[in-house]
Amino acid sequence: MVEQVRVLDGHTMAEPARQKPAAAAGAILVPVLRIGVPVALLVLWEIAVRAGIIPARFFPAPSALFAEIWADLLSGKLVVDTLSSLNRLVWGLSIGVVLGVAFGMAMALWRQVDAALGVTVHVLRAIPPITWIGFSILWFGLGNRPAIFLIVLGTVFPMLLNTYAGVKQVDVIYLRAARNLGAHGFLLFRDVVLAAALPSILTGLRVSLGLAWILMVVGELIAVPAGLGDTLMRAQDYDQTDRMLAYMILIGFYGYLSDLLLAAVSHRLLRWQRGIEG
Amino acid sequence: MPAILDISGLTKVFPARHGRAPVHALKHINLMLDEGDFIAVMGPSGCGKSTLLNIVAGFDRQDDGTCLVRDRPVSGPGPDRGMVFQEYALFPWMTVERNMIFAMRAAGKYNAEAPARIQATLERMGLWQFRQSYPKHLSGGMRQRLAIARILAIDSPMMLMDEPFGALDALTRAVLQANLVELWQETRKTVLFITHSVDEALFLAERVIVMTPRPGTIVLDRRIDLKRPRDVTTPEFNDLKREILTMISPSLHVPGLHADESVI
Ligand SMILES: Nc1ncnc2c1ncn2[C@@H]1O[C@H](COP(=O)(O)OP(=O)(O)O)[C@@H](O)[C@H]1O
Ligand SMILES: [Mg+2]
Repeated sequence: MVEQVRVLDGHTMAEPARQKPAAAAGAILVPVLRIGVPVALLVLWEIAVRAGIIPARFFPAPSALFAEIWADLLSGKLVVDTLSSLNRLVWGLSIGVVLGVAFGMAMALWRQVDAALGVTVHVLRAIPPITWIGFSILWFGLGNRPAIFLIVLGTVFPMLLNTYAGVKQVDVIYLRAARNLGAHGFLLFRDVVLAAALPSILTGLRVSLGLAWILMVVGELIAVPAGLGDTLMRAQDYDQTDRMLAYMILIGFYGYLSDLLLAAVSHRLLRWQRGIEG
Repeated sequence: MPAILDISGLTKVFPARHGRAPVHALKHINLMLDEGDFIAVMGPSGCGKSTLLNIVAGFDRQDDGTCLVRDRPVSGPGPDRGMVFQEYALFPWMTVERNMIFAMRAAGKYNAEAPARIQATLERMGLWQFRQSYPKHLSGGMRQRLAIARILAIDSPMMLMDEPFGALDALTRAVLQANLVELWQETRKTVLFITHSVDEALFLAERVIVMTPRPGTIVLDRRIDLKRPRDVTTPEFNDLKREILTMISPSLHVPGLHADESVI
């Protein structure tokens, strides 16, 4: 019986998408463009500064920035700054994610919680997190805590809203099937509700990560005597334009790398969503 | 044989909504199912078949009457009444094997023998080699075999099936129907099978129940004593089909109805 079944309906399995010739050409062109265009921009920029078209004092050349980064790397300053900033980022993001997911879940699962907190949440989330900087210093003084507080404020709402939407969108058929099999409590929550909401939660996490980088730097510019933002602030005070621009681009690069990392993790976690080639 | 399911006076009315009249989905349904029987409930769409099944499954509550499973009123869904949905209802984020593991955990039956039982069940359903695949990568027939496999794994004494093969192509459907009969003959589970096809009902069931809509009531309850394996092309099969269609045609208000199941 089994063999017969396989022959009869095995053939209807989804077939992998075939690559078209045009797609094959794109397969070479795309990586070339991805690397080539940024490199070309850097080269043009370097030439423009050296030729005096752009004054170096206003906009330093890439070579000056690389020299700056290299020197700070050798002195260890870059590593210290980076680790110090990452520490705040990870704390702020972790707290924001835990709170956001917890409240988002609670509001999505219990109508009473939704009713009780809905208005407050929506008003609070509409306040730009940066405006809390005054109170964050008033309440926490200078140091890690006001920066972490800002990051939490910035990340908790995207996490909350995406978790909420994710849980609300869980198809009732999955809940029925799970309860029919006897699932309840934590198993039902983890393997069905949380798993089904995961794509949406990961979307929230990606938004939150971007916001966390921004708010970490803002916090450090104003309230923290350490980290990448602090170095940036001092460089501005001392008119060190090389270091200023170098650290700005470095922060952008870190943000990009962390996003790539998260995208890779998401890609792996959500492999079940993709076609057969995924 | 003792009754595994005892439904009496079952009534369900969906209240009026958006200016529409209330719907009498079920009216005074009486139905007894013997342990090990295979029953097909047949009728046009909207006659309350799913409503009936959902009450037995514990997803919905009746407004009146009783629904007893092994002498106890249904109070909610449970693994003693394993359901096979038309929409498969597999968990797309779990592989074939994970779906099976989840089912056994959910049913509180995940013990030391569970992996062996899962393997045996998947092999029986021709899915073992696909254990690492996600449902998305399976054909419709394979998905429905997985949905059946997980009910086999948790060993529900009663299997509830709501038009489980309705979304499949004709060939796959025929194969799965034959598989289901084999499975039933092996396991003697009680099957409550919902369909809108006379052919399907007659091919599968030991007993066919016909419902009509507005209000949803049972108009025919007949034992099918065709010998197995059944052949849908025999005169006996067609005679029975004609008999059933003729009996239900007045309630369908279709004059001169002939043996064409598409009317149903
Ligand atoms: N949740 C609901 N609310 C209102 N009416 C419903 C609901 N579910 C089913 N009905 C109505 O009850 C009747 C029976 O539905 P159903 O049991 O799904 O029929 P079947 O499965 O036989 O096609 C239909 O008229 C349908 O529109
Ligand atoms: Mg139905």
